[in-house]
Formats: sequence, C-alpha cells, structure tokens
Amino acid sequence: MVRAASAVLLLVATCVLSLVVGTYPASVSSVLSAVVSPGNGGDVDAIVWHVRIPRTLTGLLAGSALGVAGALMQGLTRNPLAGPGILGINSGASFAVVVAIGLGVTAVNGYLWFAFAGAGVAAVVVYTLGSLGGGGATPVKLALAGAALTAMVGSMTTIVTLLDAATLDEYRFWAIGSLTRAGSDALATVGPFLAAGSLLAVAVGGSLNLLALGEDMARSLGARLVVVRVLSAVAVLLLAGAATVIAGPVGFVGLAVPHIARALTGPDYRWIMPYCVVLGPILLLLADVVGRMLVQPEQLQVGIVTGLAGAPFFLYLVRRRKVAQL
Amino acid sequence: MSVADPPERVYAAYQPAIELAHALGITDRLVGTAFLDAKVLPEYVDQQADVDYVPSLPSREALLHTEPDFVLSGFNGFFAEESADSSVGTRASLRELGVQSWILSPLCPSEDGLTDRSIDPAEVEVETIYRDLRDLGALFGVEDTAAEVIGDLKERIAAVEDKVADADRPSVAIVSPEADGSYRVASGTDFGSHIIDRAGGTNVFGDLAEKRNVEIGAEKLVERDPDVILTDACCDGQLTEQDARSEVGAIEGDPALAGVTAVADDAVHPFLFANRSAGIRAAHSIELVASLLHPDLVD
Amino acid sequence: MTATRRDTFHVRIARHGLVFRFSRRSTVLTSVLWLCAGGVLALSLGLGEFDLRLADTLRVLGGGGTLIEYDVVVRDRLPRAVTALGVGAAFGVSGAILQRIAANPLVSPDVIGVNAGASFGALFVITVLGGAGASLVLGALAGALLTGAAIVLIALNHGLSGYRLVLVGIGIAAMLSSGTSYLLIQADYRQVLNAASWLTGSLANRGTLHVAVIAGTLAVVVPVLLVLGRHLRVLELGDDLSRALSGGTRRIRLSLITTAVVLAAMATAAAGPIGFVALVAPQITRRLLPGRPVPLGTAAATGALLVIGSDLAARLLFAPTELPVGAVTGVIGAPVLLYLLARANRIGHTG
Repeated sequence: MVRAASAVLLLVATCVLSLVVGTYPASVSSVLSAVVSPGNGGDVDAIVWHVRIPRTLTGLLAGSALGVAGALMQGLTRNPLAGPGILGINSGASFAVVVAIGLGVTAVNGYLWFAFAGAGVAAVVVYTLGSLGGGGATPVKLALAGAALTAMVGSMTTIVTLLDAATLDEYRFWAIGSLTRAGSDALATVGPFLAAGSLLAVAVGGSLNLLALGEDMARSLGARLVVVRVLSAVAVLLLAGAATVIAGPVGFVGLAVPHIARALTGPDYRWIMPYCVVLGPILLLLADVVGRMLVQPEQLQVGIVTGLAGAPFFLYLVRRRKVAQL
Repeated sequence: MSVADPPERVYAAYQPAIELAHALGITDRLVGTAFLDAKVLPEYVDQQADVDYVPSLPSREALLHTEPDFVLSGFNGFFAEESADSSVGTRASLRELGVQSWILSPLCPSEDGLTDRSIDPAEVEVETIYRDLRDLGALFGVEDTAAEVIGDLKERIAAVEDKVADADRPSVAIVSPEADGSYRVASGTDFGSHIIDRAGGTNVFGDLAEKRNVEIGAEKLVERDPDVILTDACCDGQLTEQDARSEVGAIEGDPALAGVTAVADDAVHPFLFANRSAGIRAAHSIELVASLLHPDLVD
Repeated sequence: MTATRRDTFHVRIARHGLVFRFSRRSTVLTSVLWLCAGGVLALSLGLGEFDLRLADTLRVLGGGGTLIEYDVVVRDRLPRAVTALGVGAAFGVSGAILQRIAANPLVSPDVIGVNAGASFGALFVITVLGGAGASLVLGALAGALLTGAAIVLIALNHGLSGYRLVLVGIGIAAMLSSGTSYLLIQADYRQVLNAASWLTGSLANRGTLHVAVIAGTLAVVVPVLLVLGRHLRVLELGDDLSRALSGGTRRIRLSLITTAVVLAAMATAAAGPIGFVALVAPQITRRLLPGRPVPLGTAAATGALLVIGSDLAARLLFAPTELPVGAVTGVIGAPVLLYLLARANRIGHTG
C-alpha cells in the first residue's frame, strides 16, 4: 500500500513539475495564478493553457494508455517482447499518416483520423492472419504475424518517404513521440476511446492471470480463450491507437512499463494494470520535463528522452530483481 | 580546377546548381537535373521544362547512363565517399572516368566527404555567389552572360538596400511548423539571415549560431515575439509560395501563438526553403522579403 | 544421438574425431536456395539503369568493355551483389542462433540492440564527424560491438539466461535509438536524407572494403560454428535441462551469443541495419523444414536469397530512383512468412 501511495504521490508531483517547467521564463506563482484564474490574457495565460496543460494531459493519457496496452499485449501473447506495437498499431498509424501527408493533409489534427484508421486496419489484419490455420490465435502466431506485418508496413512507409523528400521532411517529425502536438480538441476527441479501452482492460485482467498458466490450464479453469483474446485485442487497439494519435509512435513505454510494474508487484495482472496506469505517465512526463531543460533553447521530443530516462531504471530492475517470467 | 574544352554534357543536382545553369544559358548542355526544393524561378520555367528531371538523386550508374562530362552540384553530399548511400561516388572516382565536377562554393568544403559543417557559414555572402558565377562563366566559355547576370543581381539588390536604408528594422523569424508541434527556425548562420538583413529587417533568432536550423517550442517563439514570420515550405519540384499557405494556416491556428505580434498583426507570410539558399535566387528573395517588411517602400 | 531417421547421413572427419550430421531434406533445400541466390546474383550483374546487353556484360566480366562499363559492372554491381549474399547469410545465421538460444521467435539482433548500436555509431560518424566510407564502417562496427559487449556484460549477473539477455537488449536498444533520433533531429536536412538511407540498410556504393569485411567475418565464423553449432540442440532444451546434460553450458552459450553478435555487427557495418532479415530468415526456414530445429546453413541461404533478391527489386522497382535494400526486405519477406504461417496446420513450440 505504501508503495502504491508513493507512486501516486510521485505522479502528482510530476504533473506539477510539468506545469511549472518550460522555456518561457514564467515564475511558479504566475503559472499557478494562471491555472487558478484562466482567461486574463497575456503570454503566461496562453502558455499555461495552450502549451503546458495540453502537454501534461497528453502525457497522462498517453502514458497510462501505453502502459496498460503493453501489459495486455504481453499477457495475451505471453511474450516479454510484445508491446502495444506488436499488433501493428504503430506501423499502421504511421503508414496512414504518411499517406495523409502525401495526399496533402497538413493540419496536425487532420492526421488524427488517418492514424486511427491505420491502427485499426493493421490490428484487424494482424489478428485475422494470426488466427488462420489450426489452433486459433496462438501467442506465437499472433506475435509473428504482428512482427511480419509491422515490418511490411514499415517498409512501405520507408519507401514512400524515401521517394518523396517533402513527405520525409514532414514525417520524420511525426514519427518521433511528442507531447506538444495534441491540442485540447484532439484530447477531447480521443477521450472516449481511452475510457472504453480502460474498461475493457479492467474486465479482462483476471483472465490474463489464467492465460499465464498456459492455454490448457486456462481452458480447464473456465477461461473463454477466444473471448479474452478478442476483448484484449480491442482494448489494445483503443488504448494504443488513441495514444499514438495524440503523442505519435512512442515505443519504449508500452514495452518497459509493464516489466517495471511486474518487478514491483509480481505477476498478478489485477495489480499490474493499475500500476501501469500510474507508472506510464510518470515515465512520459519526467522524460518530457527533462527534454525541455536539456538543450536550451531547443527542446527534445519526449520519444527521444524516454529511452534515455527510462532505460537505465529498466536495466537496473532487470539486473537486480529476479525477473518474473511471463 | 581546369578543363581544356568547355563541358558539353552537364548534369546538375540541387536547386542552386540547376537555376545557375539556366541563368548562364547552358540549358541545352544539360543531360539531366535532379532534386529541386521548389519550382524554379518563373524566368527559368520554360528552360527547365526542356530538360530531363528526376526528383531523387540518381545512383552512380544512373548518372553514368546520361554520359555526362561534367557534374554540377549545389551540395557536397552528392560526392561523398563510398557507402554514403545517396552519393554518386567521390569526385576523384568520377575524374578517373573522365567526368569533371564542381560544387557551388557556399557548400563546397575543401575535401571530399566533409559536410557543410566544415564551412564557416558566416563567410557565405552574396559575393560568394558572384564568384561562382564568374568562375563557372569562364569554365563554360560564357563569360559575358555571367557578367550580365552578376550585374543584374547587384543592381537589383542595391536598389532594395537603397529603398530600405533609413526604415525601421522589424524583427523577423523564418519558421516551419513541424508535425510534432514544435517549430524549426533559421539561425543567425543561415543565409536567410543575410537576406533578412539586406531586405531591411533583423533575424530575431540571429543570436543562435551553432547550426543553420534550430528546433524550438512554441514557448520560445512567444518569448522572442517576432514582428514578421516567414514560413519555410520545402522539397517538391512544383512548390511555389502559394503552397506555403498551409504553413501560414498552421502557425496562425496555434492558440499558443495568438499573442505573438506577427500573428496578431496578420504578418505571417508564405516563403520557401529554396528562397533562403545561397544562389542566384538571392535577388528574388531579397526583393520578396523587402516587399513584405516594407510594403510602403518596396513593391 | 545416432541416426534413426532415414534422411539423415553422417560425414566423419576421422582425424579430428568430428562427426557432422546432415539431413537430406535440409541439404537439398539449402542447395536449391543457394542456387537461386546465385541466379539472382547473375541477374544483378546484368540489369540496371545503365543499359547493358547480356553479351556486353559477359564481355566486361571477361575484362573487355569501356572504362565506364567496367566501372558499372565490376566496381559497382559486383561488390554490391557479393556484399548482399554475405550480409544476408550473416543476418540469417545470427537470427537463427539467437532465436534458438532464447527459444523466442521474436528475438533477433535488431531486438537485442546490436543494430541500434551500429546505427548510433554510424549516425555519429555521418552527422557529428561528417565522415563516410571506411570511417562509417568503423563507426558502425564500434557501435555494434560495444553494444553487444555491454548487453552481454549487464545480462551476465546470475548466469546468462536468454530471457534476461533479451530484456537487457531492449533497454539498451531503447537508449541507443533515443540517441539516434536525437542525432537525426539535430542533423541538417540533406544529411538526414543520406543518413536515412544508411539507417534503412543500403547496399549502394559498396566496394572491396565491404566485401572484405563480410567475407573475412564469414571465413572466421563458419568454422567456429561448424564446431559450436552442434551444441545448440542441447541449449534449446532450456537452462536446467541443458545444464544437467552437458558441462560447460555457460561457456558455450556465451560463445554462441558472441558469435551471433559479431555476425550481426559485421553485417550491419557493411550494409547498415537491414531490418527483418535476421528475424524472418530463420522463421521461413523453420516452416520449410517443419518439425526440426532450424539448420544454420539453411537459414544462411534463406537470408542471402532474401537480401540479394530484395536489392535487385530495390534497384529496379522504382527506377530511375533507387531504394535502399532495407526498404524492400520487409515487403518481400513478410508475405512469405505470413503465407507460411497461414498454411501451417500445426505449429510446435516456439523457436
């Protein structure tokens, strides 16, 4: 309990930090008064309400969504290498965005629906391919089909960007995870998807524990494998798809956060999930704050810093603790 | 370098090289052109329509297939050493096959394979462009045309400088909105700074000098508060200032920038990446920027 | 282990007391794959933007032709094709070893960070030092080998389990790709274009240097694997069982992982991190030879065919624009794997 409480406290502190730190020289008190009494005009008001608050919200939503989606995917495929990206979500969204850029869509919010559609199509294709042949969507087939489709769509993305310099110039910035792209309207749009995905994740948490015992065992204990798999896949699509839409393809968080949560709580998915909800945003927001301070006057995108900020801790856990096998 | 006879079969890569070839009147000697950042200047559109063009750089064998005796490049990366994957091989290896080459001096380091970081950008001035025109004019045996072009450029730039000499100097930023919500701005070492300067303004990011392009967040742009913003659209052979309208929209549509003077005063203008490269486009760019900064003095 | 299956035969080298087991099916398959790869190599020499008829190509190979024709065929297309074969074989073997040891089909040198290390090293050379050619190869090599060493050392805490190795690899790879993205964002736009094609994996402008790097590596590694490879069968049984069955498991495991890392490092140094080959070549092989462990020789042939076939496609598909080979391996390799996946009625354990 102490551990859980301190994690939540850390998250609150991170959010405050994310509101206060930035390139614009605004004092802590001026930031806080802008938060409390919005709409008084002025630069600080614009920066707090149109830069820092959307940025912090993006970190909160995307971080928890990616963490939970990663845990679901690892439980579903029983593979420690599976992240939310393995269903082809990142690559599908990326390809759709490249197509959108090629078609001349330029507004950042214009990419939103393309990204979602791309993620959805990729997830359905991976799941269908992974279910072909005997035995249904076994973990190995699902993982391999995901990896194969990811590679194929990734190649197609590369081909388009290399053939068209203007698209590459635009896409290389889309392809880096960042908390500064989504405005409040984009956040409001993806909110319902995130809520639905989270509810589904809670619903299947217990069944993932059974799946971890092996398929035969899970079946004999009454788990309905097909239902669990489909519900988990839909939840991953909603969560990771929405996260990619607002923050771009952030890679490491969905993969690492479940492992960190597992190292802190053990193998019970009913505990791993809530920990992911808290740990994901902490990692993303801390990385973002570091990225704002590291190379003034520039700023580093969160996707660049997450690896640098999160990986050492991840390595420490992997090396020190007896890693809970899946 | 010296060439016995003027080259007859010229391959030109990158915007400044292609436009320079047309300006020198050697369009009929071009066996191929590659990689435009934007549509060529209106006066060269007909000439460009007559030559072969590919949007991506050619491979070594595709280049050799055009049987060039001379390769003119606007950027040194075209001749990087082997395993540099977008190159056609070193200049020495082309020379072995009887193909001479030339890199425009704004981006010509002393050795093969070095990047433009090895050039001091502060040394690139409008005079650098004149020097290239003079040298290449002699090399192609078109000294008179070269002298004419140089005279024309000098005259046009001097005319602008004359008109804006006593005017206030508004602060200007060359800004490209990126897909991740950040902004890329041209620093003090970029040739864009010279253009703004001669057009009667100051680059609001002129103090940044570590590299040509700098990524900043919206907060920094609010803090610097430029009077005028020029966009930075790039990289398509058909691109014109009209196509930069979407970048204008993206900047004006960011609620965080609503208080910036340029946005509030409706002074965000379409501009092209190609306009800020050091080439014969300089006169065009200086006239364009001056007309945006001082509409009452320059038209 | 004596030969009980009908299609197995033995080659005995009496003087050294070594016995090599060969399966007839895998030997036939391996030969067919290498023949196909050789055929594609011949095509690669004759086809391209620079028009040459078959007779001309042969004449140039025989030492005739103009200076420019010689440059195109012998100094450009030939080293490129040979590098493709070597690099493909190296990636295939590297992936097969790692997948068998970790008993996980998703493991490949890309996943455990070797490619990320090479990419970072190469990009550092391109963008910060402004280098190319030999320094680029060296940078990639240093990056890959240092990363490989770091991963093995960090993972070595309580014995080298495949699981821990993979997790450590993910962590290191994440850090390095962060660094790579940073360099990419910092770089000038035109450098980015150059770097982008290296980072995709490219065989453009390869020369004797690259052929030497990959051929030298294979010349050293193949004999080592002929001896060590036989232990893979035992290692696959899992940590506990394999320890019971053979003594120096840990040393052998470490040697095999090191070999896999060196293969991937050298291949990446020569051709950039060509994606997906190390992952898919063993998986395709496995499904062509169901019910047995993936033979390293067959994985090598699959990898070689995949890379040289992809490179030919990359040169011809969008002519006159040439794509880096890494942009095509996914498009060509993935459908093959997906087809084999869908066709397979039963799939055994992961591996």
